[in-house]
Amino acid sequence: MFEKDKIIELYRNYKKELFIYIYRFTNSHENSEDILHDCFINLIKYSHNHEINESSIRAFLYKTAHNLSINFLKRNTKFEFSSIEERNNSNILQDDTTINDIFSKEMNTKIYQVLDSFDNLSKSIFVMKKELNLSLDEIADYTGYSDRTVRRKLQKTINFVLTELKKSDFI
Amino acid sequence: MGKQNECKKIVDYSLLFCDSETRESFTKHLAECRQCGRDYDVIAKIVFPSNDNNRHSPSDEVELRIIKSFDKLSQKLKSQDTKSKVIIKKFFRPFLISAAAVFILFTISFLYDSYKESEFNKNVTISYKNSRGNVTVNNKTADNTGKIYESNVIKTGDDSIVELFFNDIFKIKITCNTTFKIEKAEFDWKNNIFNFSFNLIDGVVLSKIDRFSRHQLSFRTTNSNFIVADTEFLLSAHKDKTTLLLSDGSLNIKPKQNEQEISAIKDKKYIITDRIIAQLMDNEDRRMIDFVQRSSDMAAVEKNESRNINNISKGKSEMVAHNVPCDKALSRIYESEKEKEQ
Repeated sequence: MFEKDKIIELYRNYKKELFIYIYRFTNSHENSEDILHDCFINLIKYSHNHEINESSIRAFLYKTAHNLSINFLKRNTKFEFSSIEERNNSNILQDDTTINDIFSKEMNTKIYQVLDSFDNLSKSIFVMKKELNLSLDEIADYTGYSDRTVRRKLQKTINFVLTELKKSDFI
Repeated sequence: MGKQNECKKIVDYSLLFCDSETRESFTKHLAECRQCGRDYDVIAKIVFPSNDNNRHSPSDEVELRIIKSFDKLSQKLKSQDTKSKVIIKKFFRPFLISAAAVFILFTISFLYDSYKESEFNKNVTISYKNSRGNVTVNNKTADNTGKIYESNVIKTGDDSIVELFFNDIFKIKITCNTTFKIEKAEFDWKNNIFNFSFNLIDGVVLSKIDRFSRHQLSFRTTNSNFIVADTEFLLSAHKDKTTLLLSDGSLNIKPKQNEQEISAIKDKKYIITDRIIAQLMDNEDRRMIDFVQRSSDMAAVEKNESRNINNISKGKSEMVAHNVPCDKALSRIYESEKEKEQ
């Protein structure tokens, strides 16, 4: 079992990227924090019963975050779809923005709206690539699917988003 | 279709899915093609990270929650470990008990086999039948029939005859005034044979060893050893003189005083003192053998006859004529020998 110091160190290393990833699923700060907390509790329990390498910790955390996020979405049959105002006006947004920034934010919102209609795997893959810039191999490892599947889903997702953005006159 | 392919190329290009050559050529194309360039800008916005990611971060409370949870969890997991060890012990207890039982049974079986091989061998029982007179076994008056064992000493009285027998392996008639010891009576488990060794301390015995017996039998007296098999002989021992009358078969004589071993031949008489004298058996020798052979039979006949005689109330003299005491019968043989020597 990991020591307390080790857990804290891991948390501080991975909290940012995991939180971004989870947030893109939940669109809720509070729920994202809960899921993030649960990810590390799962890690503690797992380390008690199994030997886990340093190199496998990140993969474990992403897999856990992926599963917990999808479970969250399944439990919430209605998407707790945060309104555009929340996306735009939450404490996330603090600084003054330029017109380009506003446009980017709106487009981002639109992207995630479109993404909500996709399956959870496609969404997970998209988020990992877009927000966390993970490689194809890493995404395949964390989701448990092959490189080919990941690539195919990513291409399909982006193409669809592009089509929708064109329809919505974003482009 | 062509547009879709172009779009796909732009997506792969933006996701870095194409090889370096393709990428190089497509970069040039993007610079030249306005439409593709515009599409690439859009796709880049889709694929590139959101520009508000830096603002996404969990609060400090999450870390505190994790620490608290860790403390609770570690205590809980430690107590679970203790319980699981107890459960494991309980789970494995039946198997451990069974294994222990099997081990104990195996050990007992092994020890019993070892014991059988060592101690049980000595409990080979030889049957005896008292034809007449009094017999003692280890200085205790014996019943008319019974069992004797290794190290038992049989003594017969003036007019006693006892017959020892063991399955079909041997019959030994112990005549009167004889001291006879069972030195060895055991079963060799490895070779599956019986081992018997007898000591004629004093007196006369008639032995008949089964022809097909593969078992180990030996006799000894004060001055000789005899390895016997498939033979019938009369053996007498008195002080330092051993007499062997071989009526059937063959055996080896090994005097103790020298290492010379002699094969005794049928119908010969061997007198062993400090030397061995071999002679042909004469009528008196055969008479003695015959007497001993028939002695138990005679005893049975005499018993019946004496009953009949009693019933008919015949004279005492007639009873005496039929009832020849063993010591007297054998004393004649010894006397005849003395006469011969003289």
